[in-house]
Amino acid sequence: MTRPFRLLTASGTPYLFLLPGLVILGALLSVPLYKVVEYSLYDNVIVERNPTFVGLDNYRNILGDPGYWSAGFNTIVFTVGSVVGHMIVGIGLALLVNADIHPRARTFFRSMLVLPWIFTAVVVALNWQLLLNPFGLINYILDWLGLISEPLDWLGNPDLAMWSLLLISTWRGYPFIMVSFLSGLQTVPRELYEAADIDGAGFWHKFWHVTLPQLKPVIFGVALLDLIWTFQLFPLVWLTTGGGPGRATEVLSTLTFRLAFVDFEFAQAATVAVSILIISAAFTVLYLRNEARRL
Amino acid sequence: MADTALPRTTVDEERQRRWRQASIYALLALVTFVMVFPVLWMISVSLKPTTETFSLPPRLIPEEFHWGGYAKVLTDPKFRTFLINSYVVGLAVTFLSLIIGTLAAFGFSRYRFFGDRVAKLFVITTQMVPTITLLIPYFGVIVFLGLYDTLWGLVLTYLTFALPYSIIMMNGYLDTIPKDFDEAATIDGCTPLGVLVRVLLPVALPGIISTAVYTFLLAWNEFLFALALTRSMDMRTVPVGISMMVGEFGLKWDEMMAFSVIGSLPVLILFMLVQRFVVSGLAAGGVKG
Amino acid sequence: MSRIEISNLVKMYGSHQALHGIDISIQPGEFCVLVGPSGCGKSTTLRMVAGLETISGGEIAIGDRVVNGLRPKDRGIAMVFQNYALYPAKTVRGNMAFSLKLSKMPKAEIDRRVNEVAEILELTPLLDRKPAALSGGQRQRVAMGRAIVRDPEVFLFDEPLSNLDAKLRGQMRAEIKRLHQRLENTIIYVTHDQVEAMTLADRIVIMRDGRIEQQGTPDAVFHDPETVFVAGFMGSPPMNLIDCTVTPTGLRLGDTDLACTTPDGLRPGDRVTFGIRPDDIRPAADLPNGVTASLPVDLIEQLGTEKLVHFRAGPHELIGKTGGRVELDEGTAQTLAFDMAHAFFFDAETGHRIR
Repeated sequence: MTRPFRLLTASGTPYLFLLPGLVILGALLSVPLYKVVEYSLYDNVIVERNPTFVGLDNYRNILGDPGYWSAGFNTIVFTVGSVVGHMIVGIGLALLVNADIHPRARTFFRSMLVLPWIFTAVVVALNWQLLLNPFGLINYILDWLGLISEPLDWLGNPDLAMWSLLLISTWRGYPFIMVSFLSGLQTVPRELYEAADIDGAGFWHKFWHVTLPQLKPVIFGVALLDLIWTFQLFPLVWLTTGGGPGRATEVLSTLTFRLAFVDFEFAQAATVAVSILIISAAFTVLYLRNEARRL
Repeated sequence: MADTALPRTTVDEERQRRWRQASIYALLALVTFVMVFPVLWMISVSLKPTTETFSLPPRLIPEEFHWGGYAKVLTDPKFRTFLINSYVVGLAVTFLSLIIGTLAAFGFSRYRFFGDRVAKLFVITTQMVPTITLLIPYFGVIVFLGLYDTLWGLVLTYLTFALPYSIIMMNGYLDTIPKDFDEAATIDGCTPLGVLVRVLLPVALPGIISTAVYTFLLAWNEFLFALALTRSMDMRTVPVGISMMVGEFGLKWDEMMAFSVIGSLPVLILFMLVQRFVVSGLAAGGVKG
Repeated sequence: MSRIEISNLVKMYGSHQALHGIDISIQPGEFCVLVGPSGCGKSTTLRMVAGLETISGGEIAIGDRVVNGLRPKDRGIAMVFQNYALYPAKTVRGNMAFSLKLSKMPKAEIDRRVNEVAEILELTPLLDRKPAALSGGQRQRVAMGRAIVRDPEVFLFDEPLSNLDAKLRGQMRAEIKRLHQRLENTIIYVTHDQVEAMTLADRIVIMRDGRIEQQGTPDAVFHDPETVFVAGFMGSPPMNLIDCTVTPTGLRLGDTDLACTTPDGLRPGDRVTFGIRPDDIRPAADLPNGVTASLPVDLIEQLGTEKLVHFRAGPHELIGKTGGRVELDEGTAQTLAFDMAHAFFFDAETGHRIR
């Protein structure tokens, strides 16, 4: 029998515990969110003292701007590509680490494989600029393998930049999926695998018929989280390619930053920011539905 | 040989098992090397003079260790300022976020009250708010509060980002502690706060450690707001400091990589020390929200 | 030692009523066991006495004080939990001293008390261990020690033995009984195990669906049950309870007539629940004065000192008993004797006893 701890519930005790946290979150999130929506309805915000109310003009401008649509398209490519990359590498490595090896070795490999996740985006960007440099190591290795005849400018070539970015993003983001999937694996009852062994199932059978169905809610939740976070990702893109070359890797977040802090078009920037918020909100609702069942 | 005494199949099976084990180890070692390589290369480049950064054929271990980059970075007071700022901000955020987050998590974990579901969903939702959307108005709010170009502005900002994680991770941990402890402690004479501090927190130590490390990591690595909400060199943090070197030093890869290594070292060490807790904590908090 | 007076106790969870006016009066030094199936409200009652649940209606008095609004620590109680709830980060000594420390008792006095209680419970060599390094039985004793050091007016036990294996449970049961003889405190003890209830209690309170079915001494509730529920709950294997019809000469049990005297109020043709314990149905040779019937035996369970005899009377399955050495064949009709002096009759509708 489970009983909620009902002691003193009649009083305000729980509210006192929550108060500081909720006040900070409420104030420092709701005020800015209100503000950004307000900015998007005015012209010349921040730079002028008395901005003029323009209604939905900013939205009309943005939606009529091909630059916005191409950034939107790039965002979709970047987000979907990254999440797929994270999932494949993350789940693959989780299965590999989870193989029947010595626990010490498992701990070692796991710690090593989580490393990409703990560096600041600045360092990640620098590292990869170094590796992907026309005179860098990756070109050298590809040349040595005979795969390319002349060095490629991975980050400077508009046709290659997005692929390079996806490579970096995959490297950067797979550990979260790997760790989540690994801990999910620990929750699958051992008996299910033993039963499958007795039924004569091989590795792939067990993966498809035992592991995946058991972890479906976890995978779905983690993938959505990853999607929401990657969709709005700024530092990694900005620091690696800056949205370039040209606008080849411009995503909505870098567009927002450029409009605000390069062009000082704060109202336009706020409008793009609100569009990011709206799309995130849609995914968030999806995520919360999945979570609410578990609350 | 003694083996021949064993049934044929057992020998085969044993051989097969060993072979499989060996191939798993080999594969893991290879994959891990590839994944960790960028980090190794960073260290390698930091120990070579700039003239050798792109020299061919590439050498992972430099012929001769060149400490010039480190010497330059460690003697320059500017870099010391960056590091100190990052420590101040990281520790302050971790400390505040742990206290406030644990209190809220205790409320969520131990009480059913009017609005509890809504409050919890609100906390989860705050994790999803795009930071780039917040950036523009945040600027205004921080200026309004008189915190522009101060470390406190960053502390407050990161606190907002870190709190949802602290609350959710600590809630996950506290939920694993049976409520019998609360009741026993109540009968022993503890107030609700006493229950939390005297009884639950010692049990939740792994959770506290992983939450603390995660929060510190988040604060230490943040780039966007650190860039936008500070202006003077005295207030810059490590990530912004590194990014500024790119323009400033041009092609001085040894110094940039040396500072990248030094700037990553605190989180690296912290993470390695307690990675057991962090990995389980990440799972408890991030996923099982 | 204090008396406990529980009067008209009510518990509401929202609109759901979990307790419907409980009245229990426990004498100083009495060992009172609340027993019943899960969800009957026994734990809720105990937790309301402890102060862990709010009281929706009625009154609880410990000694001469009404404790309704008091905090748990001010009620003069100590509690032993089902999962022991030993603080994992504290040593055995730390666990036992915790409540005394909170009440700001001088350190020397705390040490004296802890050492004394540890001595009683044979915990002295374990005082510096952490709970994780203890066996189940040892943890159980620490949990009791933690309660005893407080020298409370009342001990509350919430299913304290249900996490132990059968053998240890028997030992600890005896230990609790001995402790009660020594300390003579008032005890309220919750369990779902009727054997524990029978062996430990001075007073048994049998609960069901938030109401008291019957309370009294173990003898009274076992040998003189007021309702069909109590009759069926107490005793293992349970009492045979069969719906049958009253005849002019006795009862009709399926297609078998049992000649017996029925209570005065019953008329031929009445429906009645007939109750008889397995001990009171034996092969005719064992029980010369019983009312006999020849009935098919379909299963014998050998328990060692005795055998359980499963047999059928028309559609009804009944259990009888015989000695462990008595030879009896399965699948044959046997002449069984019913000791009607120990038979019970209950109203088929209300379940109340008909005398």
